[in-house]
Amino acid sequence: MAEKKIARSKITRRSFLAGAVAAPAAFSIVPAHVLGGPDAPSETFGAALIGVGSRGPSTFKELSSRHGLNVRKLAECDVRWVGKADNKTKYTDFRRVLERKDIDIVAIATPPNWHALISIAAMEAGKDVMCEKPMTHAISEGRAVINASKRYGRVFQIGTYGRFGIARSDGNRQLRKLLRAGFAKGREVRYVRRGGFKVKQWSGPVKVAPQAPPDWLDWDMYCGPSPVKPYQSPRFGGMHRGYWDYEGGGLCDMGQHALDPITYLLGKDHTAPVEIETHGPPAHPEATGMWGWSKLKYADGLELVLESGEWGEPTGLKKVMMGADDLTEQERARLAKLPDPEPLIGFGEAVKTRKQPGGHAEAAHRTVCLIHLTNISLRVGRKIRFDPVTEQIVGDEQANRLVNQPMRGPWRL
Amino acid sequence: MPAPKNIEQLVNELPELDKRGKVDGPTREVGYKLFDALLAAGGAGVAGVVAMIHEVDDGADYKARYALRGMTMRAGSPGQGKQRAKLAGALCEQLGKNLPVTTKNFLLGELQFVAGAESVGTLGGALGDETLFDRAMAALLAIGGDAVAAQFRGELAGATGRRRVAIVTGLGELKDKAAISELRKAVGAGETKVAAMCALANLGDAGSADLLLKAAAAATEFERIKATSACLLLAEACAAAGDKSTARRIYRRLHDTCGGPDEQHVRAAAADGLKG
Repeated sequence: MAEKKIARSKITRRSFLAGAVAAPAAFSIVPAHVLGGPDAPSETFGAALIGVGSRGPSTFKELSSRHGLNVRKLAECDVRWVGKADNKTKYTDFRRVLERKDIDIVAIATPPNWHALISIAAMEAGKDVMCEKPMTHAISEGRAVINASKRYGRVFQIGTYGRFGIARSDGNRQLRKLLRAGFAKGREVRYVRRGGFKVKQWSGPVKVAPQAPPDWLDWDMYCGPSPVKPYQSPRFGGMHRGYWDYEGGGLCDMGQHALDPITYLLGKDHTAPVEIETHGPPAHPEATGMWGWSKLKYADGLELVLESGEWGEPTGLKKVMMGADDLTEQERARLAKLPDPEPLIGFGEAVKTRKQPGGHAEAAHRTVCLIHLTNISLRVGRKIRFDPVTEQIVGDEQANRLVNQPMRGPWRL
Repeated sequence: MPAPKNIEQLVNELPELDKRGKVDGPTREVGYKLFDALLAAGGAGVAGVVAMIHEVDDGADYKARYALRGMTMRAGSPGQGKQRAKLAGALCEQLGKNLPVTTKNFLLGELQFVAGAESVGTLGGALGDETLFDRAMAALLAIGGDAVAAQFRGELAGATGRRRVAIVTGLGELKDKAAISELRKAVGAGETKVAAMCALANLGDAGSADLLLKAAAAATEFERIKATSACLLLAEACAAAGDKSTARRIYRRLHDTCGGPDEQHVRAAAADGLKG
């Protein structure tokens, strides 16, 4: 038995496939159970971590600790390893990592301006993706990630898990079912989320002298699709969250955590709000700053209110929810005929069964859109209207230029 | 040239940074009043604010940069067409002045959000300057349209290296049919190969199907990953345009040639395409 386990542990999914394709195989994806059943503990996945900064090691560790995957770390990549990379286990260029045929799973923990490009390239290379939050840097990037996931049948999971906890409750699942079916229409339904956005903490400092980038840092690669600006130390290593070029402030840092369970509960992870108004001071061109509240209204009238609790006066609005008791008899009959929400599966199970996990690309995209739309409304300083189907802002060309932000060449979606 | 006194006074009404060097901002009402007053000063207002911007962005001139961004967002509001064009024109005029490269790049960053058709010529002129190229590209891509594509085509012949790749990419993003012939040639050049393949795929150019398949077959490593992706994207575009025959030809070839263990996902995508 011990001997068998050792033998299996030497097999990665790809090395198995390499043998399998010698035969005239008709399959396109080999289910993991071929290697010895879905629970086979010895099934080993080759894995890589791209972005090894403060968050990266935890992200990678979760592949095994949270998702129960037996992974072997074959490569790490970080732009801070100039002169140290051996291009065998340590890389500075993610493209060299994605070329490797022995890697099945890629964990991405770079700053968010890189998330979409690396996620897409990884899925094009046939890897499954675990990507840190926030999923993207701009709205247009999300659809491209979703399309890549669908096109190649790759698993994508965002690195936040609030919805898994919420979905355990039968009451929450029933509320999701009710709200997703559109029963909020014509009723007052409002969800208010107060605090926890670290707005001040991740506001970018403006008073910083530029300096030469450290010689161990590939500054051009770090900036990637974003404009290359003179190096200022807070732009790198955590405080990057405070600059529009790489992230979008505390809301981008914490928002996907806060809103992931909410979009599940409200049944809004397949659509987007149609009207968004954010209250705050005028935004700075480089550094993210303060905001007080944001009101996001969906087509069915359901309102989501975010309050930072860190700037200006609160809205004074209260949470108003509904339940099956508020429905008419006819509505209850209609609701009863609708299917219950499907149970969410984790990344580990998704990788093994080739199903999409609970935090799949569409759900992650619809959640991060709330963050991006709030920031766009803040940055243009006015109420905006959004079309959830075309994913464009309606009647405001300037605001639309923040939906699809041109990338610095040669990078493109 | 120093900023006129009244402009400088207006800009200096903005609050100081907080003790950590962060923006705490005025209220929106206070800020808007100030930005609108600066816009009302016309070209002189813009010139005055630009004159307050330092070569090095170390926060000392934060009020001027903040004010200019406020003006950009106010002038770009829906229904402010004349104001927007006026501000864009004034910013373009500043680009022609003897200003530091860092300042010009900052102005290009503002033009990305406020420039329209009237600015295409000036922005196109900046494409030839290596130090301004990236921000000028971004501003032009934000505007989009045939006139921008014409600027890119005009610049393509003389551009080399990263600039050439970026222009090829830009022509694909703009779906510029007039560039197809040049893009096909660019598939044959090493540095532009993948960018040109992606551009032709974005254009949905069925006539390039064989060229892309041949190029993908010859590609290796990361280039092959992107090249096969371009082929799949072209097949999708052809299918969406009703050209099922070309789409099926691409899918069939990918299905038959991507047999390696590391390309099963491409083979599967092609099989899905053949079913569709």
